Parts: sequence; C-alpha cells; structure tokens
Amino acid sequence: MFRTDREDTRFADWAAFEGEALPYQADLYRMAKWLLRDRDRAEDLVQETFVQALSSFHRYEKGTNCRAWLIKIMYHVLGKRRRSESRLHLVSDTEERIAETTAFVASTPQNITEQEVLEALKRLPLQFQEVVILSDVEDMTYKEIAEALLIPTGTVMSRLHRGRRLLRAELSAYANARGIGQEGGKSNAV
Amino acid sequence: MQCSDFRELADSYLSDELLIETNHDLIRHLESCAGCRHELAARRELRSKLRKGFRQAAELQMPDEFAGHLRNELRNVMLLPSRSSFRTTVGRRAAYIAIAASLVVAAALGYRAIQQRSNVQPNIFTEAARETKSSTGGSDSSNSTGRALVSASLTENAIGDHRDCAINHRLKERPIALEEAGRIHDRAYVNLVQAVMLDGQLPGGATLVEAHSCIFNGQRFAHVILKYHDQLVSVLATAVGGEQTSELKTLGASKEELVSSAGSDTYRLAHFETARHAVFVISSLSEADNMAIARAIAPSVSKHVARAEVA
Repeated sequence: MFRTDREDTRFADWAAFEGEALPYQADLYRMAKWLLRDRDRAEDLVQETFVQALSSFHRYEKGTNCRAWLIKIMYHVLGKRRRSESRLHLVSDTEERIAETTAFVASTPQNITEQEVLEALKRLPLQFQEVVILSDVEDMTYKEIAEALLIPTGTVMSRLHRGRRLLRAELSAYANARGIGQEGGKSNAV
Repeated sequence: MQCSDFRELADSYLSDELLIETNHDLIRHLESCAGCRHELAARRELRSKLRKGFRQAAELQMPDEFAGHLRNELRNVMLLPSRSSFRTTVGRRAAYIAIAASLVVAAALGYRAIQQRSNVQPNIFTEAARETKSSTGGSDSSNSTGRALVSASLTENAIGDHRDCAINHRLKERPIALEEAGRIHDRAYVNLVQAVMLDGQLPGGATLVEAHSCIFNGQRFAHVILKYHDQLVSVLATAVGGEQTSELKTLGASKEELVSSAGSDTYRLAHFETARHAVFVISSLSEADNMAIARAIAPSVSKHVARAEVA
C-alpha cells in the first residue's frame, strides 16, 4: 500500500545489497575494532564504509569477494580519516628493519591459548598485524590485500613473511618466560 | 633440504603456495625429521588459534543494537530519497540526548505555563510524585508535582513505531484496524482519522496513506500515516498512564494545548498532549514542516481525544 513503482526499484536494489554486503557487517566491525581499539570509532568507521559501499554498489562485480571489496573500502575511508586528522600512519623504517633483522626464532610454542596469540599479535607493529589478519584470518589474496592497503604485492608478501615470524618470536619469548612447553625440535633460525 | 630451509618455506607450504617440486622436497624432509614435523604442526595450530581467537574474541564482536541501527539507517538512506545524511554513532547518541533534553525542557516549560494559568486545577502526577505520595501516605494531589505526559521512553517508542511500522514495515505484531482498536482498547481512536485530516485542509496537501493501530515495545498507538512532500509522516496517539487514568478522569477538561518539538538528523518529532493522551508527529521532514503539521492538527485532535476521555 505504501510503495510506488520507483520505491519498488529501490527496494530491489536494497535487497541485493542486503543479501550480498550486509552479511559481512560483523567481519568489518571486528577488523575496525581491532584497528581502532575503540567502540564508537569502530562503529563510525563501519557505518561510513557501508554508506560508501551502498552508494557505489553498482561498481561491485557480482561473484567476486564482497568481503574483500568492503575491507578495501574500509581502508580507504580509514586512510582518508587519518589524513584529515593529521595522524598519518607512516610505516616506520625502524620497525621494518627490526623485523628484517629478527634472525633467531625458537620453535613455535604449543600449549598457548587463543587469547595469548591475540595478545602477542597486538605487540607487533600495526603494518604486520594488518597483513597477518587479512591473510590468515580473512583469507584475502595478496592482490586483494595490496589493493586494500595501497601497497605493492611484493610488500604484502614480505610483510606477511616477517609478520608471521615476529608473531612466532613474540610467542616464543612469552612461552619461555612462563615455562610454557616448547615440546618440539631444536631452535633454528627463521 | 636442511631444517632451516624447511622452516623458511613452511608457511608457504601451509598456504599451498609452493611449486610441486618444492612441495615434494619438503615432504621428503618431513619424512625424516621429527623436529620439522612438530614445527609444521605447531605452525598449523598457531594459524588455527589465531583465526579462531580473532573471530571469537568477545571484545571484537559487533553489538546487536549497532547491527540493527546500521541496517535501518542504510535502508532509510536507500529507500528515502531525501535522506542523504547518515548519523554517526556519536551523532546518534547526541541526538537522543538532545531529544531527551528537549522533552524535559518542554515538559518543564509546559508545566510552568499551566501552573501560571491555574492555581486550582491539579495537574498530572509525575512518577516521582506518586512514589513520594505513596511513601508518605498522603493523598492530596495539590502537593504533587505536575509533569507533561511524555517520558523519554515513550518518545523512543513513538520514534521506534514510526521507523519500524511506517518506514520499515517490520513490526512484530500485525496492526489492527483503527476502528476495531477504538472499540476494544481506546475510544479516542474512533474517528481519529477525520480529526487528523481536517477535511482535507492539511498543510501542503498532505494525503492519507493508511490508518491503523499498532504496538511497539508494548505501547499501543493509533497510527495515522500521511504523505507530505514525498515523505511519510506518522501521527501517533497513545493513552498514557494506568494509575493516573482513574485519578485524572475526574479532571475532565483537556490540558492546555502545548506543542513542543525536538529532532535529530534522522527524524523530527513534535508532540502535544491531552489529559490522558500524548500525540506525536514524526517524520524526516524539516523541523518547520513537521511542526506545521503538528500545529495544524493539534486543535482538532486534542478536541477529539479530550471528548473521548470524558465520554
């Protein structure tokens, strides 16, 4: 009774967006909350991301990875915000060098909890956290990560390699400090 | 292959990114090296824990109310052509505070105006006043504090009804005909549509879309939906108070008409009251347009409802 033909068209567009993009609300919120560590700011980021996604949904290629498309938009929104807040997040050369020169890493510890893994991840420089999560949690390809973060694919690969190694180093140090089991083999470099 | 080579390639092996030949080299090494087998299992487990830990971390879960809000706001942006703005979380919270503050101010001003006009006729009791009265055992209404009928929770229910009934059509309970609700629940609902429509003299040629009675969050409303400048406008009338009703029945006459207005980025809200009813006008129109409709219908609707109250 309420709807005109024009409204029916909008309802159809909405239904497509609702079916394709909205199921990833929780995934985007998780990522936003991880990156910003603040509920209100995370909610605002997710809102703005979805508003932009809604307005450009006609450019989304059906059948491709919608979650990766949304995360890419979210990073663009976040980058714009950081620039406008004059809080440019530049990748620190020092951090990159530290990661590069972390040569000795003990065997990956076991008997650690999921919470301890997340805490160790938080202690990594953000640029390594990001690629590890996008790859190993969100299952994004190198290309998709590169497009989201606006960095070359080769940089994604090297950061991922270093990020995983740093994570293992953090966990290994944590396990050693608490005497948590390092059951397996010898401590080799890598 | 040495253990150091294996450990350099182990992550790529787990991600299935290696060439077939390299894979075979790794597998051959694994067959003869218990340490690397253990390391591979540990890395596999680490990935699994990372994935599970991240996806299930309590502090990273999206709040349910945000999910509902986000969906509704996006839907409104999509389906209401005049809606181009989108409230941020901070803005949304500020808007609720603003609405609540506006209502408190409006209630206080309204009460003061009424008190100044009449020192004889008692006014409507507040929740706080009734609690005070019962705790002291007193019954003299002249000692009580007056109030406007509209509380912040009632306002939220009215806004929620406009959003979920008029805009989103997703009430839990199916609406019933207004006349039927008038017979069963509240006689003020009978012929309310005629009082709202002003014999076709509504501002700007607003037209009737639908009228019914619906329930939001346990609050029953008479809901008259108008269309004005391509926007849906809800006129929501609801009885207020249970205990007050019997006490106030003796008051008879309707309260002085008072139209107050509050708004947010999403909805504009105006309301006026009779002795036992609150009437809301809610839309996404400009504040001036929303208020114009409220002012236009207030005399007619107040008169109609007041008559029903004393009947």
